[in-house]
Amino acid sequence: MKKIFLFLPLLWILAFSACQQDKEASLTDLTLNFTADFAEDPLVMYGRTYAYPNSTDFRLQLFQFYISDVYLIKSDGTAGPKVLDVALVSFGGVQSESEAAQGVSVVLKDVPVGQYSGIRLGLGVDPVLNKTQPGDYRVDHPLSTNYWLMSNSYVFSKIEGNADTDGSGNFNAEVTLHVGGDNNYREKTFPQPIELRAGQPNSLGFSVDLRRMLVDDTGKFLNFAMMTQIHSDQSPWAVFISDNFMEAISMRK
Amino acid sequence: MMRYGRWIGMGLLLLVLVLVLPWGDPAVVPVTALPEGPTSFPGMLVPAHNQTHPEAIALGRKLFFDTILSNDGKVSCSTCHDPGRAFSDGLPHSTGAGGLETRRHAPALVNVGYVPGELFWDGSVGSLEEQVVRSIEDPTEMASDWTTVIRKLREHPEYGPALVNLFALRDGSHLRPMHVAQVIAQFERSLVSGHSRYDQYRAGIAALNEAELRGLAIFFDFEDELPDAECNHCHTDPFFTDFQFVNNGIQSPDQWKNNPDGGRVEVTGKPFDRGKFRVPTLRNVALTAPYMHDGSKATLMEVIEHYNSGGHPAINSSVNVRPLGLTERDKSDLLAFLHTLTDSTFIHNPDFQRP
Repeated sequence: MKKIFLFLPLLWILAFSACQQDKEASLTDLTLNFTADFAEDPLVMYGRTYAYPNSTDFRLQLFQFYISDVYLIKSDGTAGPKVLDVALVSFGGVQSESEAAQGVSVVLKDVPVGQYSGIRLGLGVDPVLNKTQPGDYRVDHPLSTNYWLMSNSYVFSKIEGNADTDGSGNFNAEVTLHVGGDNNYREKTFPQPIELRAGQPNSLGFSVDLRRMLVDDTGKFLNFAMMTQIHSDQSPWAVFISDNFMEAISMRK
Repeated sequence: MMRYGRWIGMGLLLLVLVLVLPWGDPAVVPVTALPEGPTSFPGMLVPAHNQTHPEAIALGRKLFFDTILSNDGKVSCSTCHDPGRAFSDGLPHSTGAGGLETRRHAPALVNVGYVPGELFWDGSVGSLEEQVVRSIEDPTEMASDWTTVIRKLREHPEYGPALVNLFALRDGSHLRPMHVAQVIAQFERSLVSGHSRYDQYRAGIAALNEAELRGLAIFFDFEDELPDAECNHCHTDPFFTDFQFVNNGIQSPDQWKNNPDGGRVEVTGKPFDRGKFRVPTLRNVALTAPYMHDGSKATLMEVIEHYNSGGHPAINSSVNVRPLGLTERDKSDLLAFLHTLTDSTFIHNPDFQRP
């Protein structure tokens, strides 16, 4: 009888090993890759000038946004596994076209393999997480920064750059568009067959047209000759940007 | 049966270890022996290979204040990082043990353990431990070499045995630079400051006067009828830095192009990182004059005047640095608010003084 104790650790190790193999067979990594453009051109910080309505030229310094509450969608259309709480997607370090082409990647670990009919992204910080504060996290967490004390909200997106509104070439207008607040949180589902397999790279690509965030499909645009700053959750222009974000982001084929 | 006893024991021990050992992220461990900041502070990252230990902090503190680490025996870490000045030195540039001047202004070590990535004005070192290793051999700092430092510590009646004991080394011959770096880094991580009058105000246990409150509103852009000094974009609560690298318009266009100190570009090689430097914390800022990476601003009011002017233009000057149009009263109130960030418990903390 006592000899059975000899085999208990061995059995446990074998069982653990088998479980690990099952786990490895049922889970995989998934990379969400984001690229950004300004209309037809790749989005590069500092080094490129982009044509903007009202004969304005625009040069970027920063474009970043949070994604949160990311779910894969099951074949019946219902939400499947949640694969991400929150991540900050920042193009602030993109200074060349090769970096723009490479994009910004968010690597998700231990995603259940299988067939899915789509993926849903929260654009911004979802209302539950938006009730938290930087002190709730470690300093390496994406929500340890970008917090607005004045609005009790994270800054969901930042668009910063210089606009040349008078044609002088001096890029006289400092543009800082910061948007946050629960009312500016959006969710978008991308219906597209997704097959995630174990043991091989799985990647989904998204592209964001920054111009489309500032110019809607009727031609209405944020005029930098009139307004260069949004630091708000309630501004109609903050809502304008948030609504446009839904149209500006798409899934690459 | 006895012949199997050892194997049974080992098997059970293995089982217990497997069940009991933590399986979390091996890169970090919870902070266990550091002073607590306010609850508004995010958690500090501590390397798994250098877990916090009170004896290590105490030993690191002694070494931090000891000139034994320098080539000439006259310079210690505290020479440039004086507790009474919130661990800065009051000089635009410091003079190292070799008589050479540092390239940049000595940064204050306030909450330095919370910096989530690279350190220094340009982010050129990856950790506090690496910073110690580099400072010993920097000709503008300790101007020494590790062979000499290790020999001196090994032969020292207190440090040698203490380090051998702390790291459970067989003897002093096994002492390495990393052991020294680890204890000093642990002391530096303990330099937590979060009990200023501003923190007490946020916690509801202290009041700010009218000028300070008005300055706070200007700093954070809390009230539409007051000007926005744009400070909060980079000097974000709770650390009053977002740890980013920014060109704040301190260099003139000519300096920006030709300055031999390129800042962040020297690390990344990216052309538009030229002239960018780490946003410093403003906690205890009233104690850390002079200001900027080059120590070129002697007073806080000079700093405020710089930002009020909009700074020098450059293609990568931060768009958050723009002409502000602050009145004399606005500037005075902003200054009053910045003084509320002084944490007297930090500079007088007996655990941070020369032992």
